Amino acid sequence: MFVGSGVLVSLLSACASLPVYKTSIIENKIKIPLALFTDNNLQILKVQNSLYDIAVRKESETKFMALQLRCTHADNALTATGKGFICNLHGSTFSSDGNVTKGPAEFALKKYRVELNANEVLVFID
Amino acid sequence: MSRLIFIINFLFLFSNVNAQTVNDSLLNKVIARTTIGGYGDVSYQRDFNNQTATLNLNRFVLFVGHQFNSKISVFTELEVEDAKVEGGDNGGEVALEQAYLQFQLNKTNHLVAGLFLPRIGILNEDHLPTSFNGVERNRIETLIIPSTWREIGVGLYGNLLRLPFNYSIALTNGLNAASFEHDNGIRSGRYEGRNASANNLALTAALQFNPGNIRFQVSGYYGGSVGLAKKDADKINLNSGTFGTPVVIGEAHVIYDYKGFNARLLGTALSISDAEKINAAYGHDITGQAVGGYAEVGYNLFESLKRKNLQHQKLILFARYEYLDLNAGVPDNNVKDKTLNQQHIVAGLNYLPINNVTLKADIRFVSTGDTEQLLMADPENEYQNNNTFLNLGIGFSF
Repeated sequence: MFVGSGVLVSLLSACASLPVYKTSIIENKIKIPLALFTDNNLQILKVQNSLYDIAVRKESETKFMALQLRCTHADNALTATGKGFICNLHGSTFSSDGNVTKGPAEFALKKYRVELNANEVLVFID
Repeated sequence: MSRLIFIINFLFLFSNVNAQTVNDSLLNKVIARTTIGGYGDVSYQRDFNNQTATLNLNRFVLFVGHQFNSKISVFTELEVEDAKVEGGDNGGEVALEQAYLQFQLNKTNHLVAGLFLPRIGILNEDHLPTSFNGVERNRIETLIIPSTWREIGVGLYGNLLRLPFNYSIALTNGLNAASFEHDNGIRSGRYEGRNASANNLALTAALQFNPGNIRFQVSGYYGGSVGLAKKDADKINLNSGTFGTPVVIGEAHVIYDYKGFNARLLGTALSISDAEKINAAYGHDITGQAVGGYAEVGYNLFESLKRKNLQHQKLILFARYEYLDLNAGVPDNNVKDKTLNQQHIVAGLNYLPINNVTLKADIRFVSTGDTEQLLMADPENEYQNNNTFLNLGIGFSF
């Protein structure tokens, strides 16, 4: 029992919090402070007035990837799981880089163009 | 008349255009969109004891969803089981598996209303043939948790903002104790959206924790099973009302998934505390308690191969052990049916050339308890405790 509690505490602390950043789109762009990626390579953007979140992942010091968290099967909003994303409607799963790991989704997540500008990460919304 | 045809054509044209309007933007301007999907599976089964074999198109399900706007969607699934339904013939079913509206309340919560599958167990929500190992669905989530279990109601689904917890809670119609059966638990007592009693209701809830390579879930069901008017229920000594003559189900599971290795462990228990009264009222011999669980391990043999053409394919070698006892606690006036105390060992291969198509082969060894002479329909025909089945199947989802 105590061992089980320890494992649970360990798991909880390992994922102490999903890195969530609330933001909005201004002139088809989202600006994110670069400092957010100091301790974490992933940020989940909760975008004002949008149905879908965006996951931004730091791939290297100069390279970032932004994914629309919208299932490519039936457009359901995805949930972050710690190692990727899951659609609770039909069970499709996606890896942290947006590729399908389990169907019925057939296509990878939509990617947005990302640029680094001084101390900001810019995500361009089509 | 021609004017009427023109109007109908115009409306049809307009509705089609509207249905296909898509704006890929994140913003909520125009996102009306219709989606079509589906799944199906065909299987071959060889019964070694009986020296017989069957082939069946088990199901074909057509999914149609439509997103009216950023807040409201509708999801439907229409299923044909056993390929066809013909008047006067046994077998075959045409049924709605789901038909519900979804209202997005905010970023992390949505409400569903209509006919939907409550979150209990693994298979009830995630039952596509491309999702599970083995040609057949496991028996624990067929007989104790009767997948695919849908009822009419409302449900709240959501996740915590900063922690990987998902939750769901739903209020649905209850069950019909008059249709419970000896050898399939509550399965036949589901209304599945057809003329359900709203006198008795059910509450289900689930909590999922999904921190990374591992997922935990606990879920439960508590529902009334007698929808009769009080005066009618009193006549047969049953409790009616919202949660009268309750059915209780508890379930917990864990799934571990890492680099092609997948393991899952599930346990569940069912309790019908008034089983004795139900048996007396309807002349049944249902159980008061049922328990079951399974453990499964699988590994994608292509996971470690570097060949480019195999990177998107999977060849999963798996084994599963299932234990269930559908007569774990029978009422005092009933005979325990030990044939419903079963162990199944299933081992086989799933080949997925793409994520949406599966070719399956497995072998299932069954072992059951002894039969009681009292329960034998044909005492001349000797009961066999062990049997072996060979299963082959194909499945798809899109």
